[in-house]
Amino acid sequence: MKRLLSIFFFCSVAIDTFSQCTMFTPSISLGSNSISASPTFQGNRIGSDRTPELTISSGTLTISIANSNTCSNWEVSVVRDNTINTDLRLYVIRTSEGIGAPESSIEQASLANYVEITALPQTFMRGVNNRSSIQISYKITGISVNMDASRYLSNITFSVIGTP
Amino acid sequence: MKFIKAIVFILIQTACFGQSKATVSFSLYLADIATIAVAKSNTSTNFVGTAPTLAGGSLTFSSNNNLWINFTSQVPSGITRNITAQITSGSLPIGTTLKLTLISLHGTGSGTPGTTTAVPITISSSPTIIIRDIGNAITGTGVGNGYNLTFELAITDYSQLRSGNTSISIIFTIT
Repeated sequence: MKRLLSIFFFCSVAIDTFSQCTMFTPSISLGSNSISASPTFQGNRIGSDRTPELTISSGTLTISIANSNTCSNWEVSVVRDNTINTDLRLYVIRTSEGIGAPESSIEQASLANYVEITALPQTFMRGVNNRSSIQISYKITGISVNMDASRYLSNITFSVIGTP
Repeated sequence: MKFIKAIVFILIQTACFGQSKATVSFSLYLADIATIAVAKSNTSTNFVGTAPTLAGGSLTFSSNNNLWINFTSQVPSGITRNITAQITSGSLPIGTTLKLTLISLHGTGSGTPGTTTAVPITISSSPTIIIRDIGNAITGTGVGNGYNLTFELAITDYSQLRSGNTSISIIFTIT
């Protein structure tokens, strides 16, 4: 037990002393806590199917990272619950760099590619320091008349974790 | 001992680098849909009686199969729809009857487009089901997609038949 405590103490001191970084828990907030979509039709709706793909973009769809600092890396992952119809596939993409101090940064290929939101956590983006108003868009595919008329719901959770 | 070290490392990681979460609720609403159209550039259909070539023969009317029913249907789970046909204005010439035969789905349709009967259906001023048990389905659009309609005007009573022109309107309803 003594040895364990000494290891923990050593690690804490080492982090404080050598990296000049205090322990932190980055926090994440969303500009909007709900998204709703009503798909349309492709061309003449009589006899035709619904448009299979729908993009949701809005100025309020943002992510902000706070409680970070210049030597604090963070990583955002995204996951959905299992309630939604399996024919529907959800995607998210980052469409802006957001706003942050000059020494902050953001990376991850999601600016060019949609990340599919599955029931398993997917890495969405990484960065350093506080960053606010990072614009995101959602895409839904698999929409069809062949699905039952209903309201399809899912909870999408974004998690931010501090990384070494 | 290595195992304990690994646990300690994880604990330190967790202590140093915590996690924060934010959840957004996603909602996609697919409303009920029931739309129907008769496809053909000109949806008027004419039946002209042709005199028999031999005295004592029957008067004949050509059948017409230029019309197609297109529809899109999206229903809640466990619900189905029917399509009815009904004469809504005008009357058939006395001594005649109008028969409708549907040929099952053609073209680019998909889903559960319902069923019909191969037996000619008599169309009257009362709604008559011509396609039943439609679920979530599309027929495709335009001529060549959906159910092909074949109308036939048949003479049932020569004694009441009179010369002249008669117009009727038929409405197809999906419910």
